Amino acid sequence: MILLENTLVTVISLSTPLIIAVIGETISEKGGVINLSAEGTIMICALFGFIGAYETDFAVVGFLCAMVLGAGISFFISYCDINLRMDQIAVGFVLTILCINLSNFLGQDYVRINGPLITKFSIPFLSDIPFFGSVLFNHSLITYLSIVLIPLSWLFLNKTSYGLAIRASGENPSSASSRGINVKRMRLLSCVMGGSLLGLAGASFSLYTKYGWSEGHTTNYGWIVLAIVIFGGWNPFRAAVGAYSFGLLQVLAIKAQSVTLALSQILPLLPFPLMIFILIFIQYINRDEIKNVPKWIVAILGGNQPQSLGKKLPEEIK
Amino acid sequence: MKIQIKNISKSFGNVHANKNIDLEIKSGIHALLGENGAGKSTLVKIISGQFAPDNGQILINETPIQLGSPKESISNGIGLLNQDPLDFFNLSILESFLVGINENAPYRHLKDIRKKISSLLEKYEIKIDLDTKTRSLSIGERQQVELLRLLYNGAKLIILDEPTSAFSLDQKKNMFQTLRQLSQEGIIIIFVSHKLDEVFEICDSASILKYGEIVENLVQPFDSDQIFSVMFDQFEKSSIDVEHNERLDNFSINFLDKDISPQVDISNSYDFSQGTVIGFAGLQGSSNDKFLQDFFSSDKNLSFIRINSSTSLLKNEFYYMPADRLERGLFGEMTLLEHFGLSEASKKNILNWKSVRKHVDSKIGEFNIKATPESKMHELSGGNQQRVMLSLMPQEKSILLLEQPTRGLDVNSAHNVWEMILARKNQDIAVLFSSTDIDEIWEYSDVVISVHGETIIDVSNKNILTKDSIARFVSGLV
Repeated sequence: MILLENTLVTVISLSTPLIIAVIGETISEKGGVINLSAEGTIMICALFGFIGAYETDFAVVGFLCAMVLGAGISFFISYCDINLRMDQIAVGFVLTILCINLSNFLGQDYVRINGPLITKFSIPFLSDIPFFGSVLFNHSLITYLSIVLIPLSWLFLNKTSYGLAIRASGENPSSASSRGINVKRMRLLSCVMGGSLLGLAGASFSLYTKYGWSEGHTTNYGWIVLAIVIFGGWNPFRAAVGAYSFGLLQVLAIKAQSVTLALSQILPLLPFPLMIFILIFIQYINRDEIKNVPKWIVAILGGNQPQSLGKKLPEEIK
Repeated sequence: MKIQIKNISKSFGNVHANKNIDLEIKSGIHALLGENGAGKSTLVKIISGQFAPDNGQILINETPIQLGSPKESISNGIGLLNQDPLDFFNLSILESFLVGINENAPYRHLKDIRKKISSLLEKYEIKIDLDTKTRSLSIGERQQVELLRLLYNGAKLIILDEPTSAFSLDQKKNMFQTLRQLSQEGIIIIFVSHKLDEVFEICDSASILKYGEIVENLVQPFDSDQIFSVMFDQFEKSSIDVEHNERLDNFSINFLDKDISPQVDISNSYDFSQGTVIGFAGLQGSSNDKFLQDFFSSDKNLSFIRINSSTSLLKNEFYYMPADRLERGLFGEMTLLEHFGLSEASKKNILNWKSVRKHVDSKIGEFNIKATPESKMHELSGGNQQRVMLSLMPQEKSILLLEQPTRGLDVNSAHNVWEMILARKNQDIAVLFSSTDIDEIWEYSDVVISVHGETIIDVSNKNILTKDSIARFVSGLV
């Protein structure tokens, strides 16, 4: 029981940045923009989050810096997409490379030094509940935020007019526009919201889960985020399940290191073939002629990518 | 509700899409008729606010409305039913009702809204669960739901733009029933179509547009001869006789039962002699192109062609020319030389570019292509692209499947293209082409297959047809 408890505590706190980033990317993609710069954005925001916190000695400043930077990068992407009609994929990819190299260059002075720490904050009373208390209510504030973000982002997307407008714009810009929605603004809004969350995720690496800064500090997490969003079928809850499963595999891999090296290397790779399988399966059950798949499986695994994801807006939209 | 359209004009460049249009509708289902390019869709877009007219005004209940703003039109009770509506695939039906709804914070009144929509669905006997995703609805269902959405948003005037182009017979019946019910409730319906059978069935009054002007206003009972004489230019009887060649390689075309219109009783297998030019006539949006595609795709479940009753034809015995030249026919970024290399490449492993170039040079002369072997396809004019497609036709005897061979070409280029096609007529087994232009069908076909919607309505030798009769067939009148 103690082992399980410890494992869950580690998984939840270790997955903090991943959860935030996955939700950010989901919101962005719901509005129709693939923020392919996730890898670079997370990396450079991790650096600037650390710099901000180190120079001012306030962790909060670090988080804010990272969010602003993340928002700025995503604003650039959506500006290129919406106003300059450039390819999202191309812009995102170039930005990834630029941000990674820039962070390596600018971060030289900050490698392996100490900055302000975030402390744990036990929620009174709730943290005294056996098992659940320590698993859910004995974390840092940023971890609480990541947990709260899951239902909040779902509510935002599915139960508010803004969320609906964002989804409609991501599904079919022409129809949304003809119904009086300002599609460009919605695309920009969702992309920038998502980008600032990616920035926040970067800072929670360097200020919390993987404390400090070193070259290539968050390598590969951005790509994993992009994959988990697909795995999650553009649904925050499912994406969170994906992120936590990924975290669990990582923790298991660390624990397995003492037993067998081979297993510890295979475990972190598992999500990728699994993801490909899920994608094939989603394609399969989405076909109309397929009727023999049980309803509950469709309900859990169904869902499709926003129809205009990654596409340029039609020219007639003003 | 009363709508008055006064003196509306709109031109694009030198083309008058709409010219001094005056129209008043007080009730009922009103049809807007006209050939392609007569100005119907421009007028519809002006009424629904997508285009601002150059001059003129529209009055709803005697008050002029602001033009050129979709929002303004919607708030004045004008609703446009698109051909492909409700297309937020991953949203539920309830959610797609909520998109762009006028109410603030619709999620706070979700229960009331749901109730209102359900009662609307009930009233018009549409059995659809509000929580299903739009993706799983058929086009017919989507259009019905969209119609209700317009009503829900307070539409008093509904414009249907070619609503039934993708409908099955059942769906059409349901839709028409809903429309009649709406019309009885005092909602004005403007029905844009070029399917005359539908117009005759459901509309109370009609206006015919031609070259951007309203040339005739009619009320039920309609006189079909009168409509024809107004809609289409006067047709004179042709005196060209169809040549009948007694030659080998006769071929037969077999259609499936479902390809034949249920309205008519005709055979689904036809024999033709070699060299026959067969025209698939149909209106825009009908399946006349699809038949050519089916022949080419050589799927066993589709209509097929046989030669001398041999069982099946090889793919390389066909030459298929798609209608959109740059999307499906040619490679925009590749040169003329490379195109010829490509068709050579299917036969040889190693290309002899020298001989390919020689071949290209001779073809450029033969087909009068205004380009060099190094020209990229997207640099060429439409006529030249079409000539390139024709120059790529195989030397061997084949069946030519030409989808709208003169689409978008000017008269001279079109004539030129046809000269080239007909030059091969005697050499090839058959020439099958599709067109939405009745004049073109009339001029070049030996046999005319008339397609209405998705099905064939008539197969006849040209000498027993008139242009009028083809126009009637493609409009769905038997």
